[in-house]
Amino acid sequence: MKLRKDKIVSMLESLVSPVAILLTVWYVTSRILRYTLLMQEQKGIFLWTPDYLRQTFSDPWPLTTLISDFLVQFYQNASDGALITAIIVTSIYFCASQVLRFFKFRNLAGLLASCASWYVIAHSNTPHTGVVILVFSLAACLISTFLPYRRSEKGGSKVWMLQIVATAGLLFGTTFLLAKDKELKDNEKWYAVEYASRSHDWNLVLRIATIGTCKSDVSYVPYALLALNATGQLGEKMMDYPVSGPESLGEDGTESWSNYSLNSLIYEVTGCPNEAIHMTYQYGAAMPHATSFGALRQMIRLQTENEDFTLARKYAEILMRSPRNRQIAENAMKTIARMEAESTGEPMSNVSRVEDSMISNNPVYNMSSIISNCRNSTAAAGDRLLAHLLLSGKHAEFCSTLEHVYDTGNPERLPKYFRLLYLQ
Amino acid sequence: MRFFRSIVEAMVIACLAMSCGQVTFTETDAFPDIFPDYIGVTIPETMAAPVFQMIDGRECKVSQTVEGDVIWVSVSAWRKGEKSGTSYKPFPIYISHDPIDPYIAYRLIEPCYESWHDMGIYQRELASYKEKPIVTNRANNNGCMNCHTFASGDPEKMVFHARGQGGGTVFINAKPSGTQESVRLINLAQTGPGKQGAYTAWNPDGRHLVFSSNTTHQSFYTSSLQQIEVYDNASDIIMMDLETDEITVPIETEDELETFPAWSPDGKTLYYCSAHDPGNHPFNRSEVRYRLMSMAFEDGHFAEPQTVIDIDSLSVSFPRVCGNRILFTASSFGTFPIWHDEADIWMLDLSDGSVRPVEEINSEDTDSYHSWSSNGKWVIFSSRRIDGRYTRLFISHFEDDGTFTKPFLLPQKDPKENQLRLKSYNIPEFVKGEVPDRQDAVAKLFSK
Repeated sequence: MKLRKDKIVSMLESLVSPVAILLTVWYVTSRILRYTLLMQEQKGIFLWTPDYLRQTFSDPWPLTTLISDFLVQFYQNASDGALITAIIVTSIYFCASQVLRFFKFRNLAGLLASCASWYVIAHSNTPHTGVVILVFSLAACLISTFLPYRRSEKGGSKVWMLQIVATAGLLFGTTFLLAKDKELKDNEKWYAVEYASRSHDWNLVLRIATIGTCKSDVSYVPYALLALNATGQLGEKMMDYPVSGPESLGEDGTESWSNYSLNSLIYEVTGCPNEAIHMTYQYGAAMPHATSFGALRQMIRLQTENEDFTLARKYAEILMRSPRNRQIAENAMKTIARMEAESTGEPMSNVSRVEDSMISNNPVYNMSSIISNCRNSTAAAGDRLLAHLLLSGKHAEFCSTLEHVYDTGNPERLPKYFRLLYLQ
Repeated sequence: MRFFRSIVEAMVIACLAMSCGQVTFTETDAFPDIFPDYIGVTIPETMAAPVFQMIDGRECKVSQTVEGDVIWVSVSAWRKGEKSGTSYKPFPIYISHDPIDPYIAYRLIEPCYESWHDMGIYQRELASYKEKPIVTNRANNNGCMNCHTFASGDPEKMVFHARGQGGGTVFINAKPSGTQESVRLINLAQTGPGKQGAYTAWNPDGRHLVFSSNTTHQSFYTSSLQQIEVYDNASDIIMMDLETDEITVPIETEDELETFPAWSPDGKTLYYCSAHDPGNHPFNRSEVRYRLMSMAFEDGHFAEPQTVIDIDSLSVSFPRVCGNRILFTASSFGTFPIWHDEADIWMLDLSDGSVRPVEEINSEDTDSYHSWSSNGKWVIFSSRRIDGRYTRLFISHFEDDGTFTKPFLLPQKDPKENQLRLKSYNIPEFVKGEVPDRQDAVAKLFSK
């Protein structure tokens, strides 16, 4: 009976820390790094294609990159991403405990190693750091099995108690550090806005990029204005936000992943798939494989909207080479087939290529062109054009455009800030 | 026969050669719908086997019979799990004994508008599916690489541009009198007339290199399905004497755009394209139409330019001369036909001045850059006919009667690769042998 009890205690002793690590890391990561994980998936890529494999194996760290890229596709669900992180951190605990098995406080050492790894992994932009730490830990573990030292005897109840207290303390401490980490919090907030925008969850964008947030960090303003634009509230609320000029609308041509992403959404919302596709290519090109899961999914959507069904199918077929995205790609194929059947075959453009306008660095010109040339231009293009004119101080042009875009017969029905300027 | 056997083996692999077990086949009088379409094509006897699959994804088995220089390929297809299938009418693949250069060189790049990540100049052995990089842009810190050319297809002698910080034109063993291997980087813009090089033509004399010097921009259409227009604000022709490194400007014009140089095989005539510059680019883009010009060349000097073709409705680009024939790309306007879906390959017969679109190789989509094999029996060209965006390479045999055979897609070990690859093939050029790996040598130029 005593032997059985000892066995249970021993089992509990060896399980309590790893289980606590697994659950804590999973829960905390999924809570405080939810959008960080989701955006890692948006920017990640794993494709079972010859080109992807060739390029991966021509880069440094091919094996760990391959594993990391493979794992990141499962971050599409933040909870799964957090679980993967938790498994990596827990595995590091086991490896460290095994390597230091001669040490009486081996489990404490494992705890320290896993908490430190968790902290580092949380601060990295991809799962790659975690995979590298894990691979080195596994290698050390493997090597240590051949080393001539013995496992230390159990530390007794004092060590056992110390382990419980240390597990709780270290996990709580690391959680506290991560939760209070300003860099992580700022990144998480930024990723939340980016992810919500890319998912067209405009209400969530407005809940995060509040007036207060925008006042403390004006880089949120273009996202807030885009969300207002997409939900038809731009003319009503834009001046409530800290707008400083037309540049607040975000079309400033800065070459960065974030800006390409934002601009692809601006043109998608205003009904100009051509420029949205251009911007999607641009941000794809910023990635190591010149594309990402987020870019591929957006490209399928945009090419389908643009009625270029051949290209939409090509991208869907490529996305199918990611196990986690297979179902999404198959559903996209069905949508493409349906849209193709429903397509009238009419050209997407109202004008020929010779007459077509070209996207310039003048947003007013661009929005005017979209309204006149794009068959699927939306009301958001009109509002955006008016907002540009309002913020540029072009009163006369604003009024004539407003009369073209809105019924100005009853000014009371005009959006607040458009009305105020119109009636001046 | 070894070749025929290898063809069949590869086709069997392509069709997965899955056991069709108890499947019963119904015969049909139609050819199978296969991708790539190799039905009735003429291929060189040294070519890697053309591997195909059923377009609708069905399993298939392949058998063949050989009759002289024709392989008759029989395909039976069935859907996995079904007990019945279809046996199609056998289709021919014609074998030509005209030799083809053993290698081709091309650039691989995403057709992704302004930016890129990895790009490089690659080579492909035509007798196999083996692709190797010659040099990638990791050598020049991810800068652009373009316009590769070889001296009359000699794999040892190569010139290309490597842009970016500290970039310029890379000359590999380019000195005509040079005996030792040399790799040089020269920023042409910092020499002589101060003009950068772009499209390149190497005189068969090995000594004179002609470049176009273009100020190129691109703009993006708001709504056209052809999303980009690339245009030159200015362009000239410059010539470099590789013996002395002296650069001269053979034609000085104020309101003309000169580009796309190409030498005749005897090196005595330079062909190029010229357009009146209407200014105000890109708004006047539809007014930019290039005509084909030529200048006689002797003892390092050019004679007066002559107009070869001037067709009101067409803009000429990429003239490539073989014997009495010039292949060129024709589009409705402009200087960058790859973004013009109406662009087609045309042929001019210099012996009688006749011009015709080469309907037998053209498609509904863009057909653009082309190059003759060294014996003038084959032509390789780039086309966007598969998906309208990603350029792929097609090869066609030039017949004695002045026509071309049905073009075939460059075979890949896995035909799916044609669809899965997210890069375009640019500037396909035949090469007479394997090009040595130039990665380290070029990287050294950029590490200085």
